[in-house]
Amino acid sequence: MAGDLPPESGAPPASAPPPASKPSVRVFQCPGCGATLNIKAVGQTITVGCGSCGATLDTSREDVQLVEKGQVLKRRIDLPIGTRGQFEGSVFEILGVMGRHDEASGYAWKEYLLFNPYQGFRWLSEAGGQWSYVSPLKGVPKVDDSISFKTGMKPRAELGGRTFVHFQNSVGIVDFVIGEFYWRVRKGDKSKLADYVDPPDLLSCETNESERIWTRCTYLTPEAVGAAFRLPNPLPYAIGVAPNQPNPYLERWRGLRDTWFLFTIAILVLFVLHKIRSPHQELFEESLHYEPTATAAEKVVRLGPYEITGNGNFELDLHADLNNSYFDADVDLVNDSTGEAHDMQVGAEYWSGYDSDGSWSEGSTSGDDLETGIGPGTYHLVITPSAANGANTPTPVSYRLKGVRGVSVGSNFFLAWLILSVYPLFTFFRSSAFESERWSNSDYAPSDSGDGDDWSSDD
Amino acid sequence: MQKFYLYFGTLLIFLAAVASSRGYSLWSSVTTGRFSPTGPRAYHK
Repeated sequence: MAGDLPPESGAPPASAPPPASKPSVRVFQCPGCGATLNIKAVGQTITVGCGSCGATLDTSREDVQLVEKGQVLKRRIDLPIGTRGQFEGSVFEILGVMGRHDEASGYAWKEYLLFNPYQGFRWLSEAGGQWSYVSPLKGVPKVDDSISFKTGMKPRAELGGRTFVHFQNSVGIVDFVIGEFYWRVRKGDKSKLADYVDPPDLLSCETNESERIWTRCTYLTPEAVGAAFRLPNPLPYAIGVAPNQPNPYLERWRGLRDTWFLFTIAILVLFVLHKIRSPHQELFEESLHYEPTATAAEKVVRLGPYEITGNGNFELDLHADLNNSYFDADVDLVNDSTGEAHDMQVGAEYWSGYDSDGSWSEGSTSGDDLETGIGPGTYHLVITPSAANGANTPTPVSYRLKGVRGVSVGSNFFLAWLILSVYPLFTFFRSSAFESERWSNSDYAPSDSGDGDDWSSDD
Repeated sequence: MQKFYLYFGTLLIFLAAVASSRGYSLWSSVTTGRFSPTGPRAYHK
């Protein structure tokens, strides 16, 4: 790109220069410390950061100029300069590493410049162990800056049929440069950055006074980066959630959601059918009285006979006039033909009174019992009741007993639905928590200030 | 996992339907502590 002066202020030029037709290496000595440095992207590299003394050098001309002296600081560089890795089917070599931080938050990240003589330049961006493969964008996205707190609409960028939602604006400041760069860059250079996400991709718009550059950042796991470079040791594990990190629970939730919805419909349909088909035949409803002073034989109540057709269940419903007392009844449901009896029990207790907080009550005046496996036949009931007050003194009680056969049992369906809802709900909440953590790092994170323009406001 | 959920859910709904058609109530069993009908016994007056 003869005659073109690359832009200042840290931003790479809009288009990287075309790759050299013949790879070659230029060797020179750092004017700051005398260390031997190589330039691999000959004809393209115009800035070199010396890894030994931290100096920034201008290599655009034959005589290397010292732009700025640097400091030798211990920095964690996961991928040393010269490391080679495979991306998009080609081998790229790391030429340079640049460290930047956000002016407002101090959030720091590194950018590794990759070079292939035939494919050109790419980058790897890393922050907190989260990686992205950065490539120049073909085309300019259509940006819509509309924003609405009411509807939750954020600015968006549209490209290739995809919608990328605005994540954050920041100002990136260069902290250090080591290695080769094809544009003029030095410590302290600033660029405005605007990020739009549609995981696993992020569109980043970098702007300075003279131009605007769009890049696509595709999320990579540390394992994928390690595999690309065939590193002997694993890279540091990722911390937190990256803006473009795919949500592993979202796809799972979407799949489960559809199945769970189908299950809910199936359960509802089956329940309604079961309800319609249940005979719910009332066999008797009797008003009875328990008198504690009666003889043992007089206390026992016999009801029936009742005819039961078909197999199914039998339910006893009790309502008792209780006043700080309890009522229990042992009930034998006896098949007159076979002489077999089913044991049932119904009971109720009700207590009430006044204390310093006012009136109180506890318990219920009704109870029930359900017996299953009742076959067809003629049955009678043998009821042995008992009742007492709080002092355990037997007390007379009037009660009403109803017997129904073939009651619908909807609780089985409800229990099945509850059990089947646990895993989808758990996945939904995990997915939501993942998204909350993602967006907690954005410009739209809920704030505690309660200001009128709070993104979480209901206005 | 999705396939397991599908098979498990289908089986669970089938069991719920069968239990309800026979008049069994799992909830009632849990609350009364009687998980299976002990069956009728011979009645002695």
